[in-house]
Amino acid sequence: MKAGFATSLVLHVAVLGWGLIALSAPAPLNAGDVEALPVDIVPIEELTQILEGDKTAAVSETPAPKPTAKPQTVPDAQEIGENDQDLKTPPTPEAKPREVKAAAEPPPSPEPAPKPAVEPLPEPAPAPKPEPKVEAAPAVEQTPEVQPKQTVEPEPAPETAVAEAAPEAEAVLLPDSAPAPQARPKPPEAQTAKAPEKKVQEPEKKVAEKPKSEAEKPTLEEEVAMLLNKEKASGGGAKRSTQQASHGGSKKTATSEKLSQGEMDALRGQLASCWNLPGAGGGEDLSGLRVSVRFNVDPSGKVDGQPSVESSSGNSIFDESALRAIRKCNSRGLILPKDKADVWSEIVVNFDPSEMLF
Amino acid sequence: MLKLLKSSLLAALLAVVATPFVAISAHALVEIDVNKGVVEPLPIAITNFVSADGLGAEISSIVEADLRRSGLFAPIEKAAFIQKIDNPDSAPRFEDWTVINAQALVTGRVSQEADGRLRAEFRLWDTFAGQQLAGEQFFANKANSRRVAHIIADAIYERLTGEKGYFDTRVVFIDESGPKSDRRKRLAIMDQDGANRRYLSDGRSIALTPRFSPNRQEITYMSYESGQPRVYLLQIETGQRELVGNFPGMTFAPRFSPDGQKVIMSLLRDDGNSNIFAMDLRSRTTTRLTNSNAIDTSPSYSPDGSQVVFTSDRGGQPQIYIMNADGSGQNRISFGGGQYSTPVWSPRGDLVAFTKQAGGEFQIGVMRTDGSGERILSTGYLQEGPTWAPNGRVLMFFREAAGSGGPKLHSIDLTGRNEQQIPTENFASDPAWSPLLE
Repeated sequence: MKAGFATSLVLHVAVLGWGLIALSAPAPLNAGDVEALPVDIVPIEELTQILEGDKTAAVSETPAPKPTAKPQTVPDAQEIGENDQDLKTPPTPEAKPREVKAAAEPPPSPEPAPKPAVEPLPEPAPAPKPEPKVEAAPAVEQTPEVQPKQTVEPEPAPETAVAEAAPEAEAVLLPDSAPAPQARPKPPEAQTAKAPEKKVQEPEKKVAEKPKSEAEKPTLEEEVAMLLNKEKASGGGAKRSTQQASHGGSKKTATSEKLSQGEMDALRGQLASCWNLPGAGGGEDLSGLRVSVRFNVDPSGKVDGQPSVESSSGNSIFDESALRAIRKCNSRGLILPKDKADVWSEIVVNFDPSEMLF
Repeated sequence: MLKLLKSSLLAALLAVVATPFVAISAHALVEIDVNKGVVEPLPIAITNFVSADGLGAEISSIVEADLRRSGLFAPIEKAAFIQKIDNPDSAPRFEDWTVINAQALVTGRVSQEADGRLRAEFRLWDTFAGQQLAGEQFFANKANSRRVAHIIADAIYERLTGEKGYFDTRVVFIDESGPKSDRRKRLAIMDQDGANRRYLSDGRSIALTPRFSPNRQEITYMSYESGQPRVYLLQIETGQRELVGNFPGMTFAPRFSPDGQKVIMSLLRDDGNSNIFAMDLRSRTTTRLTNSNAIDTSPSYSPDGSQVVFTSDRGGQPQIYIMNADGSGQNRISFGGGQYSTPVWSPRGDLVAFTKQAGGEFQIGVMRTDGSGERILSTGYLQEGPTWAPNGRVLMFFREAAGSGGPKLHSIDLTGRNEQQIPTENFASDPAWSPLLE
């Protein structure tokens, strides 16, 4: 028994000891000194998208179109005639006749003479015609309620007449179309009091202005021509660029900025929380439905206008739930990165419940 | 080979040409996919209907209760309302309702016509879009004010969920009263919300498994009236009863066909095998549909009447089978462990609801008609007998909790959510949902 135990002990110790030495250490794993390589994941879009710039300019980091020069503002013509140059005083008639001194002298001299003479005459006539006459006539004829309408508007008319001749034509137009709708909502009583005051002021102004505007007054034909001229006042040119011109395409294929994935996720989360799926009593019918909704967002984050269904799912209730989601989010305002307002001015959202588990 | 090369070259060329256009058309707007939303009850504001008496408030409270019980709507507390609706014909101030997060608003009016009839009108508004979604008016006998409310609730439910409503329906069930040793089982009928209960039998003999006719005010059920179980037909309005078929042996588990012209049931012969028979109610002719040495029972027609789902233990234990309406093409569709019973075909035709006994528990579940997609909606100590709401979205069944002494009726959504007990005075079992009332 003892001998057996001893033998067993010895043998065990021998086996274990051998095992400790022979089996202890596996071959070491030699991890070489490999330097970590920094890897950036860059969307290819950044490289492929063409940004607006100048084709002939040198390449720089950000493409930019040629800087635009602010067009010189040409002052409005004061004299509307066949002159190439704008003349402040109307001496043209004087100059021309001089050339034909010999024969024509007597007739031109009377001509310019009558002109100024004629001018003052028609002037008071047309001026009161569109402005005070229209005002005054209804004012007298109609009930006090109507009075304020016309009395209020004529006011700006004389003012503009002083400054510029061309706008005056527009100002003349206004009383015809505008007065009726404008005056209605206004409380009648408060303005009947004001009306007389303005009437008093008007004549004063006119007296003061008359001498100035006399020479500038367009003739009746010119006035008609101005009214018939449908050419719109030209607005500003393209967006200004202040950067130096650098290489780029003539047309850009992508905006330089994009919403980052995080910003997209934030928007997605907002919309998802607003989207209440219809027919939750058994959602199986909803799988496979997909609706695209397009809407515009103004810089404050509010939906501009009404969202519209771009491609319907075929299920009107489902479409409605998507529209309701946008309206619901809109009621508390979408939270979007303010500096990228032009990027998210138009948003298309595809609603489909594929990640929902029913 | 050359042709293939040519076509692939052409495709590549096209792709190159098309690329810039795609790029251009995709710029300057943000496009995102929203793949999940929330499934929460729709917040809805239901104002008291304008009326001279309290009837308006009563009707709107029934509408509110119906919508709340459906689980799909969350009626907002009336105390939170800012605007008081005095004239339901003019558009409400929507901002007053969006600010309390009401996504829909119900206004209405109840008045009495000169001839004594009730006139109820309602308007459903989308508050965020600021437009009316629905507006209807109903004329009814004053005694039917509850039904008018249910119909209004159905209209709102249908407009907002796209599914047919189920509020204007009734449920027949077995009313169980008395001690367990001497249970009195009477046939009873009530509105789906538990109101207007009345008894259809006196309880002298036990009645079981009532089923509604799809298009008449008729019920078929099993009763021990003549000493052994037999299938009867009962006219709800007149109380007139008749025996369905005169078979030697027990008949049970009856159910109407979708056109209401036939009753399908099981017939148990003395040899212990039951088979499925269909009887034409007009010609009184019977057709044998199964002929097996096993117990075939619980037949239920598909909504188009072309197929029948039933249980059979021909495979060793009760499982669900489907066959054509003439008895041909019998196929097993359920293969799960446990015993399946009382299969019922959904009114929408896409699902079969069943009771399953497994692991010492009873489960109510649904599966597709090919046996796939089995889902257990509810598990309990003893529960069985699912019946579908007419829109195929809600199931009602009866459940006896351990130690509760008797069964009660419960309803549950197809999603397994929104389980609710139907208020009944006594114990109740074997519910059967009616179709939408005419």
